[in-house]
Amino acid sequence: MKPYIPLGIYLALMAAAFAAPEYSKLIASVAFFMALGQAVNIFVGLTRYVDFGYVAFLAMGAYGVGVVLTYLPGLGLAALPVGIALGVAMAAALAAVVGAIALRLRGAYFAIATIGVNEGLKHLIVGANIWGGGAGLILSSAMFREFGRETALFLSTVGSTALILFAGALAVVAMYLIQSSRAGYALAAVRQDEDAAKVIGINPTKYKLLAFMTSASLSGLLGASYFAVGNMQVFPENVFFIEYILDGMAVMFLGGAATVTGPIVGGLIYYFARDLVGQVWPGAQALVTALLVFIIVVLLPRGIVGTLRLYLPPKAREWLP
Amino acid sequence: MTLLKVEHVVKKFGGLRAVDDVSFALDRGEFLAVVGPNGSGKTTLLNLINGVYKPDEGGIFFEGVDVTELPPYKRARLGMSRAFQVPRPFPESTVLDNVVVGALFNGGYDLRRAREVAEEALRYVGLYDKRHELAGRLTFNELRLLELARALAGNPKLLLLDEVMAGLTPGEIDALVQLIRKMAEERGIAAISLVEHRMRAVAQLAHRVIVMHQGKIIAEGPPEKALNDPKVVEVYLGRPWR
Repeated sequence: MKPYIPLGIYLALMAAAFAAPEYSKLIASVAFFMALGQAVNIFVGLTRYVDFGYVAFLAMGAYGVGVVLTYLPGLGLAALPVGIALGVAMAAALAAVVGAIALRLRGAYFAIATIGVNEGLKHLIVGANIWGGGAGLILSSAMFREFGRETALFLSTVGSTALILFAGALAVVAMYLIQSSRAGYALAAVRQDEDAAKVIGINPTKYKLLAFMTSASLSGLLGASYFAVGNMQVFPENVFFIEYILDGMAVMFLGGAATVTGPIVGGLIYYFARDLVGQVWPGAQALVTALLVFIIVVLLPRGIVGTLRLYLPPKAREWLP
Repeated sequence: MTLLKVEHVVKKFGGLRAVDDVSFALDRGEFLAVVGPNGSGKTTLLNLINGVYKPDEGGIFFEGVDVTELPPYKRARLGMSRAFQVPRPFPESTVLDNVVVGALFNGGYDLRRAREVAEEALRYVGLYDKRHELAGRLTFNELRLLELARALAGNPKLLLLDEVMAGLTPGEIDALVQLIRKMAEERGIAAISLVEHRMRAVAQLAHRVIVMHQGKIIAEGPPEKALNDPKVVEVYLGRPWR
């Protein structure tokens, strides 16, 4: 597999965000769906497990930046990498804990076991009044103070867009590294027949956990970039919004589960379909996108890129991973 | 030289003793056929040996090591390969990738070596020309060969064959028997093969036969002797084996 086309698309979009800052918010909105689909794909696409608690990873990322900016003043520009690192670490740690317990369960049982994670964490933060509680963390004044007004505004627009695209590109690299290693073979075996995989000498929990933690870390980066840096605020109702996992899976299925280019195509279609419906029939986005996903999954179960790959000669297939 | 030792193993499902105090030993390179009617406990015994089930009583020793509590993937890495009764390929992966998985994890080879080992195994069973096809497109007989190639690529010391003759034509059975014998002789691989029907294949294949009935071993010995044992004839075959 050659990751140059999907990587190239992310780099081109990044260049566009810098060259035309007035479009950077639009690019960020599309790129959010792409990167989310890309990150979700590393877990759901590679293992075919569904995690209904997944959005908590976005939240952990956002809170990482929020907590550092709010409770550790005086770091200056270092607050950004420190906050992102904390957010990613919290997402990975949460995935390690949830995964070590729940990934021993099969398919639907795993999905059920994870339902409580997202809501549980949200109610913990709101109920126990941790990290700003239900009022959330407003980061604009802290960002102005730490970064300076101009830099803060730049970071919240072009900077956030570039970070979101970086998360997407990083997910492509992660996917490439997984697919071209032992882990790729192990995960392909586990998702097709977990019992046979075990008998062949594969430890399924180990590789599922690897995919889960990688996916969660990328979502942590995405949550930090989109909510904390981009919106300059972290509200529990926003960052724990459970529909994001449905969005992520819709993007993945539209483009093609376990493909690398799929989430880019899926993200584009998903964003513009929702946008169009929002203009013509406001409020019906969820209904129409649900139909769209339904039709794709029934008619093209491999998604757009997945189906395309079937008809490409092997050489060309390498280029459209 | 003993490779596998099964000692007083019991496995209960509710009130049913599916495997009831079974003991036997297997030498390196030895070919053992486990014969018995449907429900006699053969498959449960195989599942106990490779760790899909843990026994309620008794112990299992592989190369002198107590493996009774080890999960299947760890036993696989010690040198056990299994071919399933109904082939269990990874249908969306290519034939080659299916075998590479066996070489990587069962055999413990690195990625580059695993590819070479897999290609060699595919040549050995005669599937090399189909290596780029998706496994889901193979015929039933080819899937059996794929299972053998995958098991072989795992560089096993012990091959567990779960009624691998079922569903094949007599010609295919002959070819498969030849192949398994060749594998055993050339590579010194021991094998345990479950057999429900097709006694002709058993006689050609096995050094030794164990006959099971209701979870217990009721006869043991060379094929002609074990299968003609009056007890076996009575409870299982119903008439003398020809």
